Amino acid sequence: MSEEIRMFFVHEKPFFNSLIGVEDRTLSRSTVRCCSNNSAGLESLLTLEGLMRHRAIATMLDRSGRIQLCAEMHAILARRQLSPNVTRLDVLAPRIAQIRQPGQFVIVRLQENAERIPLTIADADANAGSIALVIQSVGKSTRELVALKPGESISDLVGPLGHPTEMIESGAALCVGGGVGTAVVHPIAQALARRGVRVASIIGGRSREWVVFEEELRRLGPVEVCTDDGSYGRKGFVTDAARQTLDAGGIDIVYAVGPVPMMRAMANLTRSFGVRTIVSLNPVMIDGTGMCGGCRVSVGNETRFACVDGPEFDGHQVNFDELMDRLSMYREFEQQSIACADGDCRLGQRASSS
Amino acid sequence: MPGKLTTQQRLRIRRQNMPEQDSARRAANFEEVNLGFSEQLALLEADRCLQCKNPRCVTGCPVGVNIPRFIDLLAKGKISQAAQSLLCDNALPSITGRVCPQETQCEVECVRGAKSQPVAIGYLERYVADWARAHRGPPATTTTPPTGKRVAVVGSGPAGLTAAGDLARRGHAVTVYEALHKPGGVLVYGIPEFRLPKKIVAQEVRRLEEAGVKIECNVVVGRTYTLPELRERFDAVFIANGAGLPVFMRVPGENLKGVYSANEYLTRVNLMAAYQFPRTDTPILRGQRVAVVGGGNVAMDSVRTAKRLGAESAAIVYRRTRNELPARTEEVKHAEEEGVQFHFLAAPMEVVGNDKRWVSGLRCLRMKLGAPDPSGRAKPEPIPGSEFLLPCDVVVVAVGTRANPLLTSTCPELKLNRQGNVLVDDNGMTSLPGVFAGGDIVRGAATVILAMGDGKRAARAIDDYLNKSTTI
Ligand SMILES: Cc1cc2nc3c(=O)[nH]c(=O)nc-3n(C[C@H](O)[C@H](O)[C@H](O)COP(=O)(O)OP(=O)(O)OC[C@H]3O[C@@H](n4cnc5c(N)ncnc54)[C@H](O)[C@@H]3O)c2cc1C
Ligand SMILES: Cc1cc2nc3c(=O)[nH]c(=O)nc-3n(C[C@H](O)[C@H](O)[C@H](O)COP(=O)(O)OP(=O)(O)OC[C@H]3O[C@@H](n4cnc5c(N)ncnc54)[C@H](O)[C@@H]3O)c2cc1C
Ligand code: SF4
Ligand code: FES
Repeated sequence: MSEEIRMFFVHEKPFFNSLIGVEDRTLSRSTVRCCSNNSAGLESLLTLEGLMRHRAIATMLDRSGRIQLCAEMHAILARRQLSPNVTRLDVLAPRIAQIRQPGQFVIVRLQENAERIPLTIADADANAGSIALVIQSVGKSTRELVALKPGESISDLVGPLGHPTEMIESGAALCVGGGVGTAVVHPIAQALARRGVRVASIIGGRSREWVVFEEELRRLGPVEVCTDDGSYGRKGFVTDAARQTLDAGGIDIVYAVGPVPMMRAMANLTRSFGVRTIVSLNPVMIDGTGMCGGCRVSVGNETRFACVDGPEFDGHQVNFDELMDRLSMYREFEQQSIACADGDCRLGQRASSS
Repeated sequence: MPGKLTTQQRLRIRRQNMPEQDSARRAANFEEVNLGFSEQLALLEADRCLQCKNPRCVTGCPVGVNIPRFIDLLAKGKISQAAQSLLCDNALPSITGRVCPQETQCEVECVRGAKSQPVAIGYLERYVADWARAHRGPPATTTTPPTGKRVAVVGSGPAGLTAAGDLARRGHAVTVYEALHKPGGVLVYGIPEFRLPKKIVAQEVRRLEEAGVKIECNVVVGRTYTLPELRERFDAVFIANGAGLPVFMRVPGENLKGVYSANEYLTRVNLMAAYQFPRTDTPILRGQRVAVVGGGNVAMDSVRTAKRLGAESAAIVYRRTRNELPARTEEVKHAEEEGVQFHFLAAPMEVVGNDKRWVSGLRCLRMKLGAPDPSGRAKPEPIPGSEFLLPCDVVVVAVGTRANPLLTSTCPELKLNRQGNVLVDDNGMTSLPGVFAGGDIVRGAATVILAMGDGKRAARAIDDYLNKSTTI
């Protein structure tokens, strides 16, 4: 039984009720041909099985006894809390799920008047048509995103953006992740392992509960965990552990993603070992297409646009101080934004006109 | 009585002024500056037109709008026919009536300009177009039967929108792909609300959708889909992705906090509505003293935006003189009225920062005009030892844009010129059969009307191409 059924993705809610799906439940092994008023979902073949795994869809399917296959574009299919401050959202984005490569990201805009913010594609399931976003809640936009429940959706999602990660084809790679950066390192490690590269990972977090993606990375190779307070794994920074690994030799390339100070420290460390190091930069972005230049970073004394030339660069060439500095450009506004969201818009207004 | 005036009588009527928001009030809001002609003003102005046998104005219009015809119909009180006449030459007259540089196109040619002032063609165009927008019915459902041909349009700026409308009218199934979350191109992210209300662009876009055009936002061609993929899925492709890559000055200090490209500055304010922060989520630095480098429309839009964001002083820094400013005359006039300062014959050498790496000033060099450069404009030459510091806390760089290589770099077979602009033949077709291009991606930063003209021409050429490929 592999009859084709049709699945519709819609952007506008009014369309929702008029679009239909399949005849009965026995089709669970069928292929679903996605139709859509948005061809980001067009002509992608998904398995119903894959979709059914996501309860969010299933609840939306059932209506008057028949299965209604219908999902809004960019619906949240699943939500999982990974650490006190880090949430994983599986989002429906079939086209991106099919073609994304490690290192690429999307830009999302939750709703009207929301900011456009960049998020790395941490994982993707082409069969289910979903991508995973792993989000650390640091300000208003990220806070609103992680508050989404399965079945709710993101208004705008564009991608995959940026260049895929520069890969090696054989040898050994050291993947270093700090905090939510571990989620960014994961797809890179996955792709490396698939190529037959030996992958070792060092991941860090504030304390035990802040360590993410440990299990996923263990499937790919040895993992060393570092926590600032020593509550799990080794006490100390990832750079300490990395130094030992590099001392032992045999590492051909290092991938380091995390807070800017951590990436800077890693780049300084590997420079002395002469090991090529790729870092993923996170400047403020708007369009993600090279149109605004807001994401500019200095790499090897040249101005580059992280959204189109990056986001990954040779860590030995990056001007981290400038990046850190530019990231603080809107600090005052970020506090106002939160204050306003918490109901004190007056405060925000006053500060913004001062 | 309209239409019965003698030439003498017509010559005696003076050019009517555009009613405007008071300059002090408008410099603090984002509402449209020009309020539009009343019926009375429009009819009076229309009577100024001499109905020339060989109308020079038409030769000045890049798309050859039959100007005397629509003005004549307007003067005779046949506004509905005037609107029809205008709309059959120009698909988006409410937009061009507001943003075209009439003073270098139609109005500069108008015979009345020799002895007094030219007919206010732009204001009349706007009047008739706005009337039409308020009074038109739903778009005519295509009179042509569907051809079964599919055309992809990349970019929803004026070139893309015009082509999409014309192609849909010819019965083709059109899908427009837009990288941003809102269609309109520069019309929505660049040109500010106070010059072109976004409501107008949204109405035109909705009208296209009602006419059957499919618009998909959040699709970056070159990333979400490649050009070769589009060629496989569609019978023809029209590339109209604009010239959206900002050029920086390449002087020290350009990455200090407080330096924006005009694209970023305007996008934050227009597309992301940062002027309403914190009601909206996107912030913008509201400088007290803002310096805008450049002299074109983009610079004027930025500096007037700075004023409206509450800057105490907002200044243009331009390396030539007032006479060479490429911006529309009206924008310069409005900027002056709103209290914008102009530093002419000044070229930035460095953005200066304080110890926290925030912008604190712009170090400039005085210039003098020398011999004409290849473009015929006097070349600015630095005066040695003339350095001065312009104190400011925000710098907006509006010195131009280039072709964005994002799309073209994913399709090496597409022939480009040295600047990265797409090369096309007389029909707007690129080096790839069935792939056409127009607007700023071909011309470099140009104008709305030229982009629309390209869209129109490409639609015709694509139609021919598709008809030919059917008969083969
Ligand atoms: C290519 C790229 C990939 C990223 N991937 C991830 C990811 O997978 N998971 C994750 O949690 N975060 C990721 N980020 C960072 C994420 O985009 C920011 O944390 C988010 O934009 C903050 O928004 P906010 O309103 O919640 O916080 P705010 O209160 O606005 O700001 C908090 C912090 O985020 C920075 N920031 C603010 N706006 C932006 C913006 N538009 N773009 C980038 N940074 C900004 C600020 O400088 C500040 O340091 C990525 C950033 C980039 C550039
Ligand atoms: C601030 C400003 C003020 C101006 N003022 C005037 C004026 O007063 N009068 C005048 O005549 N002209 C003016 N211009 C110039 C005029 O706006 C442009 O010449 C015109 O908009 C060009 O039209 P276009 O259709 O070629 O491209 P654009 O309007 O640039 O539209 C291109 C569209 O394509 C999208 N796009 C880009 N890359 C991709 C991709 N890879 N995939 C999908 N979509 C993509 C972009 O997001 C954009 O929406 C101004 C320009 C600016 C920036
Ligand atoms: S040139 Fe002037 S007077 Fe003559 S037709 Fe055109 S607008 Fe009228
Ligand atoms: S985000 Fe605008 S150019 Fe990179």
